[in-house]
Amino acid sequence: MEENEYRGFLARNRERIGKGWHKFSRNPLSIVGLTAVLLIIFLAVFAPYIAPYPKHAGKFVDFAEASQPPSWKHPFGTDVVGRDVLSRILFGYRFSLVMAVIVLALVVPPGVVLGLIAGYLKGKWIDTVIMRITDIFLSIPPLVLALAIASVLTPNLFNSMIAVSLMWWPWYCRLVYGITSSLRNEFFVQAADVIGAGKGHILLREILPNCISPISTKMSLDVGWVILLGAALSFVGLGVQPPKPGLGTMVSDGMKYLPDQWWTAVFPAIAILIVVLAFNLLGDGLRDLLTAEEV
Amino acid sequence: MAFSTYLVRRLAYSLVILVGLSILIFFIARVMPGDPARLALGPRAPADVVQRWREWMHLDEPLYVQYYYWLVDTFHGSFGQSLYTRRDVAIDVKTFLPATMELVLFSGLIMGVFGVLLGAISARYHDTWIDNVLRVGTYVGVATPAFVFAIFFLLLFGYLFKILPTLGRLESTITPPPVMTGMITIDSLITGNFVAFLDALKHLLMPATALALGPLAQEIRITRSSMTDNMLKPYIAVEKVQGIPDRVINLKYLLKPSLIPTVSIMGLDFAALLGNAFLVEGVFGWPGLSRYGIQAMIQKDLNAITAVVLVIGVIFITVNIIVDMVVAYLDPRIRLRGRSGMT
Repeated sequence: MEENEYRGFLARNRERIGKGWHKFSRNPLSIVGLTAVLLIIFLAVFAPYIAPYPKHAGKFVDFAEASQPPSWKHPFGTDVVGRDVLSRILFGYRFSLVMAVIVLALVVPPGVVLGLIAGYLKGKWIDTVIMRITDIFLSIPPLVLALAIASVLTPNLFNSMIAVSLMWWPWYCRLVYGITSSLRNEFFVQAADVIGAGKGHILLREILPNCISPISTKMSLDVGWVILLGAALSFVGLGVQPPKPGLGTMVSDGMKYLPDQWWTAVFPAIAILIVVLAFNLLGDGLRDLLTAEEV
Repeated sequence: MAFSTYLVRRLAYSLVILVGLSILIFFIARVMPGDPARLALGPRAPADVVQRWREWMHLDEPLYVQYYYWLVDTFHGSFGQSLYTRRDVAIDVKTFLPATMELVLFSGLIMGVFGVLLGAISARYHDTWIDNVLRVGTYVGVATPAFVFAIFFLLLFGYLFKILPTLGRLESTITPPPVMTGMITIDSLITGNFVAFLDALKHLLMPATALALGPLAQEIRITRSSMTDNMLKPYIAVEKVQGIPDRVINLKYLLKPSLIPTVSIMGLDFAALLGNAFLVEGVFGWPGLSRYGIQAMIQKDLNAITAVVLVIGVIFITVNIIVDMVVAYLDPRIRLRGRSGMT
């Protein structure tokens, strides 16, 4: 233990990461999740080169090939206008991942800043205002709020991101609020206050670094949920608009032709299940890795 | 603080939240780009009619005045006219709400009963194959959107095996029971109409299960982890040493406190049920409030959207109060807070 003290910050950090990775890699589910996520990202990024029929991701009609069941030529079959379902799923993953990245980028900064302010000024009016507003946002099922917001805007991918972001920030605000309001009484924060550090310094340099690990854990777990919510919005027609291939849009389009053309609905549905499952498994593994720090 | 004070405070705070929610919904509805009056009357309405409508709806007044009028209307039980069906939205809500309540309550029942049962089994046989199967199942269950479950069920049980009906709430050949609660299963039970009851139950089974499976998986996980945590607590060991039978320990001393996190999370899980009902009702042609809400959203029927969101909000807040009450019952630290002799 004592030897540890003299080894320097970087060495200890490396050891910590090593321990975390050890813990992560011992759980087969985490490895499955990591592999699947990397594979999905690869497929999505290089979709134009990998997809067997890249043109089918947009406006494309080939009635000679319409409604084909799965075959070697079209592994997941074709839809009613002859578009290859596999190609469209790969492009659908692009929209899903873009949505997750942008929503988290929009949600985390304001949520964290508001949480920091409310937590540090606990008991002041600003704390009450911010936290009561989060209570209001959380007093309604998230999906219902997202649907309501998306419905009053023009339906498209960007507005569905706005809708999801508007309902998502309170969770980050709550998380950071909890940590900040307990840290503000710690000696290192009070000491900084005593020697005259400004509020900005205390919040950003003293308290924020202690929130990074829980925030990143939550972010990694949230990717799957954002994708799921995006699919739900496009399922009811309030997300990615046709002819662009949203995963949810494909499921709801395919549903009209159940049970005869089951492949047009079932494969996109499985695609949603797989991407959400992959990110959940990875997120669980990362949570273990990041909480391993304290061990 | 006595329990009744706690309850009163909780109710008062819920009212404050409800007012906040109404403001939020009102502003969401007014933020919409475009002219609500023009949208309501269609592109071919003459300009003076649109202007009269605008004045009648107080659309020229400042937002807070508009909010006041809207609030007064809402308190009088009127949500205004549906811009699409041209009926009073309150009537629509009254027509469609019972079906959604029936669906959501039934899937809540499935979620609660099987969540606790399977969670307890998983904990009792932890690290055996039973536990492993259940755990893999919960991973898949949590990650699968309700509408995906709905489509799989529809395909399997509705079309492939043809053992469950795919559409609606009741077979058209069966005369529905008289409307009392509006929930067909309960109405038919009250009137002793078992044919209708069984048929309604059959119709309910697929949508309710599709809705319940995701939150159910969540409940299993929470129950399992809280029970396996409590199993290792010293007080359980002491009871074992005292020779208290395993049955009693498991049910009375292990299960009851372990249910606190399970019940606490039920509030959030109920949110998932209410939200996903918006997607699942459409798949099964379930004539509920959520399907009505989706139609309103797609047609941009503002009065209907605000009404549906507000009603769902009220249900959710009520459920959360009930959840808090149950947690208080299970957890003496909350129930007895501030009584003499307790700290």
